[in-house]
Amino acid sequence: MAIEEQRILLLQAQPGMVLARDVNQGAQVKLCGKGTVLTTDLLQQLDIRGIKRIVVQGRPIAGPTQAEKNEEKRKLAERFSRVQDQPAMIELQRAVERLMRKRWAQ
Amino acid sequence: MAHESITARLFTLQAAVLPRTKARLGRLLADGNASLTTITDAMAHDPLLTAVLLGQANLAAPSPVTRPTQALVSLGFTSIETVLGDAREVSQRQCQPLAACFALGNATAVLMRIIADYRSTRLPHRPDDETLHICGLLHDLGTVIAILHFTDKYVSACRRLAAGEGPLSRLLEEILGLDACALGGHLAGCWNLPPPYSTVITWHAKPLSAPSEWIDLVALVHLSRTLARALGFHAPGDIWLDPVDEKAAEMLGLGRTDLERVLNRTLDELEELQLFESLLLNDG
Repeated sequence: MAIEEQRILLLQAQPGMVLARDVNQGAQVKLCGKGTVLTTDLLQQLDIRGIKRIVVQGRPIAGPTQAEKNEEKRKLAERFSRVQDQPAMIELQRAVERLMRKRWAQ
Repeated sequence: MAHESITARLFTLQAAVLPRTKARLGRLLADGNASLTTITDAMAHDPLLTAVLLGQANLAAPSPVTRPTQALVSLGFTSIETVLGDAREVSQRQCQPLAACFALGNATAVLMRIIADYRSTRLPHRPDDETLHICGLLHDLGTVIAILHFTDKYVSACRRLAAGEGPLSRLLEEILGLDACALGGHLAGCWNLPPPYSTVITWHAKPLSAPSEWIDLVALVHLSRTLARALGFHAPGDIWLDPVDEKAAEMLGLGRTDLERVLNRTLDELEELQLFESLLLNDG
């Protein structure tokens, strides 16, 4: 059975998480292997070497809740509330709304 | 306030740095393995440090230094250590507002490059990616300075903005004597920032009034800023979008399909940036 994994930003990584895939720098250099338990020192070393994303075991980073989605929708309506007489801005608001929905569905 | 007293104050400003940025850069500089690119990337998220460093590089340069990597090579790594040493740490109270401003600058910077890729035919004199990034990063330097050094006046303008008394630019001009663009333009002069940056800082709100040779670049900053704000990045207290300058947007010819592609790609790249704002506030 495949182990669940999640690709996360290095900024989101916490000590104790376990790498689900090797971390490589370029095509040749393996910095650390899958199964490695992350530590504060290791995270700092990866940061120094310019690593931006890693793949860890499980799904430690949760997506937005329904309440958070509703809050995002409210904020979007609020920031466009003073340009509702501008067709170009209404079109932009709709484009952002469509993208938000698309990303939440992923 | 009289323009002369504002300018005098700008000349004597002490640079400021967020505690987390200072800690991270200090760590990178102390580690012999950090590359020039990694250090430049870390610094190029911070509009104030970037502006100070570019200004110092331009002090004695025979021709304009527009790229941070160029500035770092000419000044040396010790220049960052000196800038960091001289800069005061931003107070806890000002960290959050400043981080929001920095995030808007970074989001605009990402959008600059993405839109320029899509509309390269409309930008016959397209600058390199690093210059595009810095144009977006620094464009709202005036607001950063207003928040840091004219805090009470900025807060008063935002209160009136919330009450619907008019656009922030006019309210700030009434209260401070200069709007954010003019304030940033004055600072760009005091800090020796070269023309691409001083121009976008001064004219991004009125792109068609910019000097003719820079209009397409300033229009790109204007549109990038509008899209960044549409995605939710904004200076503190300034949540409401202003209308886009439609003539400037038409110059870039970004159609509906392009717009959705640009926003989609931007959201992918901004994933890191959205976290950046909150992480700026940690002690890290």
